[in-house]
Amino acid sequence: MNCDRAQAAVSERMDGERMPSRAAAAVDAHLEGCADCRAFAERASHVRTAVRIRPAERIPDLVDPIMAEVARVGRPRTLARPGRRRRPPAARPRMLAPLGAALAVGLVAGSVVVGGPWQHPDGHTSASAADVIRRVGVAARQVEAYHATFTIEERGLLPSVPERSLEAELWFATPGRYRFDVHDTTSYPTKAWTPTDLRYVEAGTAVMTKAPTGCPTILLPSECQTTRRVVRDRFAYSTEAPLVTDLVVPLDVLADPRGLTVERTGTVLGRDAVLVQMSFARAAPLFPFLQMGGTWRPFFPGDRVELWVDATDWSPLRWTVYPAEGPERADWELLFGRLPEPSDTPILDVTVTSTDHEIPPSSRFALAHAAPTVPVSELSKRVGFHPVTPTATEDLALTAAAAPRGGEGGPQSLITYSSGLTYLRVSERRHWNGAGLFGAVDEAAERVQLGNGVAYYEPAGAEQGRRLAIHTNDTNLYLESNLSRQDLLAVAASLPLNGQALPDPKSSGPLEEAGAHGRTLAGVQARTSFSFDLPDRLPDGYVVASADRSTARGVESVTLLVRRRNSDPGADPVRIHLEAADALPSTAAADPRWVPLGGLKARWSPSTGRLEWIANGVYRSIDAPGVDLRVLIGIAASIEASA
Amino acid sequence: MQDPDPRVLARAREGDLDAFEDIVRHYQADVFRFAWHLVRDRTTAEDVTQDAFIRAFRFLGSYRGDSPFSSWIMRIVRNCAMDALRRQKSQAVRHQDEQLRAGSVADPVARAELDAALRAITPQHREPFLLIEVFGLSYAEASDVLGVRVGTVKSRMHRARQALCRALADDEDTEEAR
Repeated sequence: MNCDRAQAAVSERMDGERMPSRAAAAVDAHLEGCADCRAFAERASHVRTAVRIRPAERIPDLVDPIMAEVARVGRPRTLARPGRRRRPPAARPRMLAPLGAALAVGLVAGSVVVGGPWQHPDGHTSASAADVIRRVGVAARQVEAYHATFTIEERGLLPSVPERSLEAELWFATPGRYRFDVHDTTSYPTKAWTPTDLRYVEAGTAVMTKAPTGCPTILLPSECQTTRRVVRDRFAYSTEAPLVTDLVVPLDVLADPRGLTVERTGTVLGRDAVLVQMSFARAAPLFPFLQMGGTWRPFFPGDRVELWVDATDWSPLRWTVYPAEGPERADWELLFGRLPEPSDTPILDVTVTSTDHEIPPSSRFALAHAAPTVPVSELSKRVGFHPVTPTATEDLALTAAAAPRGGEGGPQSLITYSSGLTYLRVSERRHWNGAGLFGAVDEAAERVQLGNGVAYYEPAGAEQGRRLAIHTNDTNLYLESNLSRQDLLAVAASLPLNGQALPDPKSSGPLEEAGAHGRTLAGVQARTSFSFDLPDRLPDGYVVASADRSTARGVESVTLLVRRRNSDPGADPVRIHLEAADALPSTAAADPRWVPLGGLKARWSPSTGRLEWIANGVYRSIDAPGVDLRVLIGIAASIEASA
Repeated sequence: MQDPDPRVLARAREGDLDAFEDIVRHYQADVFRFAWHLVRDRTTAEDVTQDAFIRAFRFLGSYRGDSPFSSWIMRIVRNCAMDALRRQKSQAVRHQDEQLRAGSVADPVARAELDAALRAITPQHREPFLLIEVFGLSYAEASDVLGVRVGTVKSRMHRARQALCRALADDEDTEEAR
């Protein structure tokens, strides 16, 4: 993509034009590598800010002369000439209430009016995306503790369950401790339905999720069991649990002004608030519960999300999904057998009902499997080496040190730096014999220059922050953080070592070591009682990101996550599920159909986005709402080809 | 720009003057601002504003709702502004290119720079920029107002942005060079 095309795409995106995710990824990739185009995007954003936040212009009040003329309409019109028409009273400057200290960006308080489309006579002002983003970033670093309760209202799950109501509660405490509970209060048609009750607990790098999993559309207990999954070290293993950070402060969603529209300010739940609009794909970090388990209705990536954020502490107050308009949405509805939905009726609404900043008791986050923290002074004794530490940490304070047990390659150190929601984890292993890089970084990750050495970078995903892997002859480091790419690279550049380049991954085949977790994927394969092969060829741009093995009610299963390389933070991965079985489970989807898959037949349910089949005594399913069936068949074919 | 309450619009179409006055109050700021940007003279902008609303009332019956009301009325404003500019040319009237006086001045240097940059770009590029960036119209609505294809609006909008960014970048360079 050349600069002309990239800048034109940036321009269109600023104006709310949607583009296919592949094109959007190409634009983002170009911007990451082109300083000129980044400068253009930044200046265009400043121009937007400048035209939208301007001092009030003295607008003349012309209502009287207009209405006087309108009352005489029908007669030959004569324009009132200057000096002869009735002059309106001298126009007063429009004084609008200041938004508050949070938005006083060097403007005169009490006399600032935002021009443009959102100047409302009721006294609300609006703000620029750049302001909102800056304030959110500051708030994210300052929040020490947070507690909130929510209601979740969903429409359109099934004709027999047109509306659902759930309650949720969230706790956060630094450093890096979260708990999120969802309680389903829906009245289902029968008691056999499995309610979508979820629990998520995160303490450092250990994560526990408890949720109904493998749910088809019908939430029957025989097909939708509650599974408790604990991951001791989310560094090395995928948790399949998305981050919940944005429920405290929408740091990921509001990290970048591209694709955001700051609509206006207002009052929500009695608080000054700012309304921001974006696509559903972009807003995904606000809906982590959709990927934790249970069953949820599907959403079109271009559906519109309206997010109200508290203008004082920048916590999300209310976020609502509305169906998008246009032919693409109509095609999606047709493909998934869904009835058309009016664009002005919400299909998912999350509303905060209470918040406070009291520090929760530590028992809220108790996880038996969390790696115990140790005093920093004792860490080197525990792991047998002096961990390498950055000299610049972007004002993050060292908050925890641990020596996680288990895994391959000898002792591991883990040092966490944080400030509010912003975190940086630096993990080190002196001996790493695994194929591929240490940590959740794909061998095909972007190679970046760091001082006199190199590192391998992956952008943020739904479940993990931005990642960097560094390999030297003496040690291996893995950094994970929600700092910006620029800040993360600056921190890494302050490490006292020079990373080495790995052999070109293309020469060894795209998935020879099965992607992101080399040893982890092979290890999962080795430990599973039924045999299966990893996909050896995926559609262009897709990589296997992680693998999980779990056991629930005596049934062993494996879940692989496949995603597009360099995907947007909000992009959903494709889930491949495998377990020993002789027959397909029954389905309650209203629209199943058979599709050919090599010499096999696979069942495809457009409404659930699931493709499933049996081969060699193993049940396989691919879940990917919103993904083209042809892509899924390509993935399925690559699994079968290697079987 | 938000469209008026459909019930208010329906009453205005039937000749209800109170309803039309609501519409005038709702839109007069944006109409005046757009008019001013097109004609760059306060007195002329006031005339254009009055003209546009009167014309809108006269032709309200012909508004079929096949485009947003905001783009319909902005089209009228633009036409009235073009008429006013043609009259000025034929009368050889020259107005000093003014700046709108502000109720308060936040950053007068930055404002002046942006105004100068806006004046420097061609009307062909300035109009879509104003409609889309300042008044929040979509590409389709702006194409309706300007009477050109959506693709043309996109490309002119992008050229306007590029020109403004270049102009502001030059100002920054000049600033640093001092």
